Amino acid sequence: MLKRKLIKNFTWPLKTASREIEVTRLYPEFMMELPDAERGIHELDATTCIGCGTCARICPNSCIEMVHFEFGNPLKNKKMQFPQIDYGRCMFCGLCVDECPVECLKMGKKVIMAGWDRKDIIKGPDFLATKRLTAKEVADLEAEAKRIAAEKAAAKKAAAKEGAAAGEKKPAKEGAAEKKKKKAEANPEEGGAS
Amino acid sequence: MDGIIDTITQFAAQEPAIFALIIGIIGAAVLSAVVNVGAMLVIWADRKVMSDFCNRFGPNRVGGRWGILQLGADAIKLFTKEDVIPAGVDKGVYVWAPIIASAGTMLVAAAIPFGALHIGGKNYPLVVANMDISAFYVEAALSIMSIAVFMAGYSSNNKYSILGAFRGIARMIAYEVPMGVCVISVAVMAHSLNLVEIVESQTVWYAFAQPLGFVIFMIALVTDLGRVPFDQSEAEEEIICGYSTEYSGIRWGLLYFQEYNNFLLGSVLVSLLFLGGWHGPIIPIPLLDMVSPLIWLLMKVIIVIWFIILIRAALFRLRIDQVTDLGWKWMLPLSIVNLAWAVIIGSYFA
Amino acid sequence: MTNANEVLSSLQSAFPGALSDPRVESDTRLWVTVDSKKIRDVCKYMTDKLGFDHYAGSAGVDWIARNEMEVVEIMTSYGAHNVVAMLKVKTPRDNPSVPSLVDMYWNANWYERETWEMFGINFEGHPELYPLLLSDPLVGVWPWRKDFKGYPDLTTGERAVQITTPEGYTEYRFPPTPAEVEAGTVVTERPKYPTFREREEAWIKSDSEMIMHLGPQHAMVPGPFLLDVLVEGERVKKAFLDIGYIHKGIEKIMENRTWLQGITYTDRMCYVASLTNNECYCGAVERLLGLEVPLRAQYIRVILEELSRIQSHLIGTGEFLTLIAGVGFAPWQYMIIDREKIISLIESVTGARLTHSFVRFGGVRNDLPEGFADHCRKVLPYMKSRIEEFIEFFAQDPIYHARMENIGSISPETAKKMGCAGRVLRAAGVPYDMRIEDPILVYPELDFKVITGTRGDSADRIDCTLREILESIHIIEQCLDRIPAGPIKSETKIPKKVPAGEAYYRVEDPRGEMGMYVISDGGDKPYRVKVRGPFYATFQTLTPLLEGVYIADAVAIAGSMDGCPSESDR
Repeated sequence: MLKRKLIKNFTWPLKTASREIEVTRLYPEFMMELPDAERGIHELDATTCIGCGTCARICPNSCIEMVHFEFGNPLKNKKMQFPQIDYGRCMFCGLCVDECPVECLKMGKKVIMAGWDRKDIIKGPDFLATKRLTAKEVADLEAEAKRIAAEKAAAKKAAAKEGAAAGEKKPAKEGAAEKKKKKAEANPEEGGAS
Repeated sequence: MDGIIDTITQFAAQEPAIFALIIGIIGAAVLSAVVNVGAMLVIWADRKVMSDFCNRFGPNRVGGRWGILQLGADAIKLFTKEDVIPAGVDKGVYVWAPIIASAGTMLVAAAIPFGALHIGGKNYPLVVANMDISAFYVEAALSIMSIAVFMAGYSSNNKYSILGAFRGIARMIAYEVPMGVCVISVAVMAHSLNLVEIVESQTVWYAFAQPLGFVIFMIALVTDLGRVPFDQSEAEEEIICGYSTEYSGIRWGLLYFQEYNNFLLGSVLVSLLFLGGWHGPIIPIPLLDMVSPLIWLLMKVIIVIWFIILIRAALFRLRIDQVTDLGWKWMLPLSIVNLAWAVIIGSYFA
Repeated sequence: MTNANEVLSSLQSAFPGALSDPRVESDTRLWVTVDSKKIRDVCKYMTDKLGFDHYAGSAGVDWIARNEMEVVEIMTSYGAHNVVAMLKVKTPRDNPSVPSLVDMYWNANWYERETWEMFGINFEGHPELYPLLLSDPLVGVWPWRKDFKGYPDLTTGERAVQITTPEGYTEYRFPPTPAEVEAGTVVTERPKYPTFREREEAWIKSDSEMIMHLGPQHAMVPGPFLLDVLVEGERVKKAFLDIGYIHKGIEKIMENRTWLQGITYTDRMCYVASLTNNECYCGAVERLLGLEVPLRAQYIRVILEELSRIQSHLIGTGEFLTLIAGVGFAPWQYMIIDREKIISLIESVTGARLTHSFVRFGGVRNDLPEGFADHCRKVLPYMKSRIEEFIEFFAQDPIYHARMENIGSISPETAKKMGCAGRVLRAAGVPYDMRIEDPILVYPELDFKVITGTRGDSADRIDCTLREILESIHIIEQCLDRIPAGPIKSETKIPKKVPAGEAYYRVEDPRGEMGMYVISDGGDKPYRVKVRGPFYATFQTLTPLLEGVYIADAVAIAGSMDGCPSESDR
């Protein structure tokens, strides 16, 4: 019993008492420094989001719902759908960020969120979007989208017309084939009749 | 002012018994206030000093950056809780256990001198009941806490409480004896059982004259208080809260508080018996010279308290059978050896 | 050294006609179907003649399309060779029944109980086929069968009803409503076997004995489990253990989530050591896909898993110290403070402190950030000096020795027979470490020792833990020196549907040997995931160890096994 002393038991706390306090912080005045890779609250780039809904499908907890948001890019996101995340269910796993095909959803360093009601912590694209377009830019892009759509429609019509012109030959060919078929059908009858 | 003093002295002369009673009641109120506030400061010191050893902040919100008023907030919270008496408890014993614990502590506090005032070259001890056998009386009154612990544990009708009660009794009985023998050894050297005279006779501190007795008394004191490494009767990890598991609200607060009251009184006792009490050079500044014995005693008490808190942060908890082994097989024989030593040295230097 | 082919030929010559469908996946994996009448003889032959002395677990699989059920027994060896034999026993789905192996392998007890209560497969000859993870009223619903539709109402037999609450949330309630229960019109059926309480109380012989509860709600437990001890005074006469208080049904949930989503569920089994759980699952799926992990990703995985091991050991030991020293004890708080450095390192790579979801099929999620190697190289020597200080601290403390030495000693033979895992096994003296037995990733190229103890008591377990941290630090330093540049994810695109097949992958979790048995039927969700958790195996061995000790020692023994009941319950 006397062979093992108790000296280190006493000297170690004394040495520690003279050290500065390392890891306990007087939260919330002092917040710890978070690394760049930190998975905090999401940040959406509404100018690049294409509204595919992959994030909503991959979320293991079904936290993400696609909702309408006006300040997005109608050229890329035809239905103007953007993610709305329910932070009451989100577990910050980061699968939505990994699966996004255009890498518009990222996770930032904000980690504090509180609300009085469960509805308060369902954050839509208005809260999440760090980059968005102004109303004028949206209107411009919409006009651009309409113009492109009109061009496409015109191109389609032209292609359809050409197709119709080429198709006149085709129906003639087909008519000849049909006549042959009718003849063939008639023949067995004839053959049958005979 | 003079008229009031005249009426009081007249009343004292006419009705001495009632006057003594009134003085006694006022003294008891002042004493309990001082001791309980002191215990609150001890709890605060416990949390703060422990957090220093563990490299974290202790209470740091209530009452400024040092959290001095944390205990006030805790006390208010405990007072405002619902008074729940579980259905299966033995109601009388259950209700009286915390009261007896508090009463026992106050009985001890009545006989301990809390310092002295140095007026005109003579020390006037501050003590409520200056008895001739105060050392012996204090020793006996400290055992009332063990009765209260057993009452609390036994009446609770709870498996954890009964284990805590049994462990508490085993521990306290095993260590009261060596503690008593050490006190007697000190009294032998001082030729008196009066605490005031024991202090007055310490030209050499008894911690140096009886080192073995000092060590044994410190260990026995830590055990009696129920602090780590000897807190099996309330070992949180095995039996939840031990004897106080079924208590809530201010009833639990009182039991918890009396532990720290005893802590404070025990530290004062150690300083008086072994560390020279209020002896120390008189500070020559006019007002401070009157209270300088008080200051010396306060410093010694603070050092003892700090050391006992360091023990809590440093040592593992023993198992109850190891505690009783230590008490009966080691502490008791060594304390009798110390008694023999005290008799020899005392009679040699008489 | 045996390999799987030799084992197969030996079995086929000894039991002609009893084996069918053999598949030798590699030198170390053998899959074979055994006739259910011969399974006991086959297992006995394997234990006696072929060196398979470790019964690692058994899984139940419900093949509803083929109208049969399967029990897969996993047999491995404690160091004689590296072969893992998966013996499948088929039984028809209508009245499934399989011979029990409990009298041959002591630790088969819990695996068979779990398979029974989840699938309904009867094990003939099992002495105590009582529910383990489920509670008494749920016996008979067989939750993990493929046609299970939800827990039934106990009175009418109807399944749960979907209700929308006034706040707009969907909840599942079964009738009867609380009002009917109060009115007393509800009659619940009594289970047909003695309940846990009745089994416990049958052991009380005299008035001086009482049953004390160390759980499920108790200051001692790192997670809820029911430990009742029959005490007389301060001595424990018998201990009773029941788990299932944090049973989340992860294995069943993973059948309803895609392969990628399943990674997040493996995190949450043992949340303290979530990286090794991820690795186990991703490794098994990579075997199914036939995917090769790039070298840099392998090194990153090893570095992070060893860091995770260090912090898991620190908190396990620290938590245990509070059990024998009280919360105010300073050195355990130092362990937590040191652990903070490791957690910050892991956080700088993965982005989360606890449940990382970091390992992906074919690689990892993120690359190591700038300056990680330098930061790591500063932290590791500091950790080394601190751990050596801790080891010295425990060596010189007489109260520690009085509390911990010769408490809960296990001999190597007992440890092997009882089937415990991890440091409990190694402290008893059996050098069984998955990083050597079944090496994955880059472990064959690294140099490290397997730490064993001598006495198998609690002090040895803590000592093994601390020395393993030193070994992990050594491994990380080697990896940092050797890590190459390169891609962190496999070049091939991971398909949504994994080809049909099965794989069993083993890793060295901080708590021991963890294995995952993953079956795919060609779809985008797993068909069956069976987790062979290390603490599930170690937990079984707790009750015999507690007989005859003091209550304070019961806490010391249970705590020194460093448990994560969340992992044992899944």
